Amino acid sequence: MPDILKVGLKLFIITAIAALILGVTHLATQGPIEQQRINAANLAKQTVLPQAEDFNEVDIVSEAAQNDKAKILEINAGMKENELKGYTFKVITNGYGGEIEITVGINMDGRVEGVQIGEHSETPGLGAKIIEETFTNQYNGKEIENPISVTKNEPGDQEIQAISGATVSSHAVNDGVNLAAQYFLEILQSGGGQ
Amino acid sequence: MKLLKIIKNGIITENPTFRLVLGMCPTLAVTTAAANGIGMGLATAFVLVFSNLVVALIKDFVPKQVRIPAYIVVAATFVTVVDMIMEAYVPVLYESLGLFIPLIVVNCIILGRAEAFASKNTPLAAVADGLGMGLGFTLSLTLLGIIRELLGAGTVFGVQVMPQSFNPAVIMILPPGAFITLGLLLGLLNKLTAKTE
Amino acid sequence: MEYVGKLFMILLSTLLVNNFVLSRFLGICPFLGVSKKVSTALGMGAAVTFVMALASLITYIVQYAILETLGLGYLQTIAFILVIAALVQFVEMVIQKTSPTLYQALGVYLPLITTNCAVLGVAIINIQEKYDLLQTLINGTGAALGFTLALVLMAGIRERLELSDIPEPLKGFPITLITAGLMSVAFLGFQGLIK
Repeated sequence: MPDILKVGLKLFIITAIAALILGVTHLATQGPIEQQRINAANLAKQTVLPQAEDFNEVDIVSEAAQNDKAKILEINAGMKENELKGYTFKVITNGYGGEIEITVGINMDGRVEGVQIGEHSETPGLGAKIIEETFTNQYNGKEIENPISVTKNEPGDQEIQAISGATVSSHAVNDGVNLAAQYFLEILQSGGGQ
Repeated sequence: MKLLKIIKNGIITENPTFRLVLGMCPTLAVTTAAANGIGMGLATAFVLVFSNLVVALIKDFVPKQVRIPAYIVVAATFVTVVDMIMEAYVPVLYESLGLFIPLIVVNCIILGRAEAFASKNTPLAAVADGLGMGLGFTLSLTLLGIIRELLGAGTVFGVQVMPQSFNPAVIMILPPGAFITLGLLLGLLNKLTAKTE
Repeated sequence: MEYVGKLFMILLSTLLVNNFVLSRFLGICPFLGVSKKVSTALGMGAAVTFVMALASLITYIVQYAILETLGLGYLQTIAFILVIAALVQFVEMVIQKTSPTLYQALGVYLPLITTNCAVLGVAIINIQEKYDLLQTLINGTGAALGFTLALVLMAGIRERLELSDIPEPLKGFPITLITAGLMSVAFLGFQGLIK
């Protein structure tokens, strides 16, 4: 039996040293990792609503935050020197390969300020092109009074052009933007959020 | 001189990807772009060097019956270290390699070299072996990444190389492209070496 | 009802759309190594399915009952791989004692499973996707069945490839990889099945 004990003890020592090393590394990298996560989250908000500097999360009115195509996960009020500049919405929609995470910024004039795509699993080279600025920049400055639609041809005023070969992905993004716009019009613009 | 020979062995003579055909999962999965190939290769090389070193250092301490679990613990430790460092300092690369960073621990190359080389050699030789194998793996992954990125997106390391009129063959950066590119490369290598022998 | 629908979607997704071998590149080593004959492919598939379902369950418990409650989330990789290695050993012992026939059928494949990255992969994906216990079980089983499906299909093709006239340099791994590539093209057709 002492043999088994010896083997067990040695294995235990190895594991203990391993745990110690990991604990130390964890302590050393914990700060930077936390910072990276905050940066990543803030960066998306900052990109879609550049006028604002601070972002405060606001409560979501649940019945308006969801339709059969998309769902709002998080809303932040974008402030600069205590003045409300607009809102950012984190929205989930269903693309071709799975869920797409979209951040939409809408300013107080009722225009889209910016759109950014977060995590997604669209097809590389096709649907994955939704992350490119040539696609998302089409939304910049669009009025949200009426829903924005997707076209395959030269886009008009209330339209954006779909990525060729990736209509499903393009529509999915558009559904997300429209849900955010609708929520803004119904709940937030009237000052309900403040 | 002997150390150099060990390193060269890992890079060319026994290249883990093209000669030993080990570690196929990350090889196929992350090589959609050249930069991912380098990142994955270097992360694996880091783990390989340190796990080889530690395995060689503790080879007399570890009882024979439990050597595999012990090697797994050693490898998993360094994988987690790499995981945390990458998340902290290269978040973009960390994001695109995703699941395949923790999966370095089950890369057959790591355990294979621990068992076949590090546990029978001096620490210095083990480090050289880890370095050689790691670099060999990195080179192969980068090569695959370059080919797939060039044909599938028209870029190399994100820089546009192909003329604008080139219509990228998207299939190359989709899963089938990985299998077919590696298959053809292996075939080409067989053909070339068959001639010289 | 919606929940049952979601379970079905997870199963369909992991079995076909995001097939572990052909689209996620998990478990490639056994896929290339143990796909020479349909009978061995079925044996390997059965062993992997058994271990993966069980490993999904246990790693789920380890993650939420131990690691998260103790704030040791960063030990996930090391804890999971040890759990899987121990589990494989344990399963091997139990099968050997209780059912010699089953052991004869699966025994040779069991030691190979520890380093099958599909097992550790599915355990980590379960946590990343924030699945609950039942979804975890479905995902684990579905992934393993998807692995088996790819393995058996491949074995069927390779049995025929043995008899075909293949250019000398492409024999062995190269033609197997190219075949896998063509299978992967076919599986791409399942994309868009789920919305």
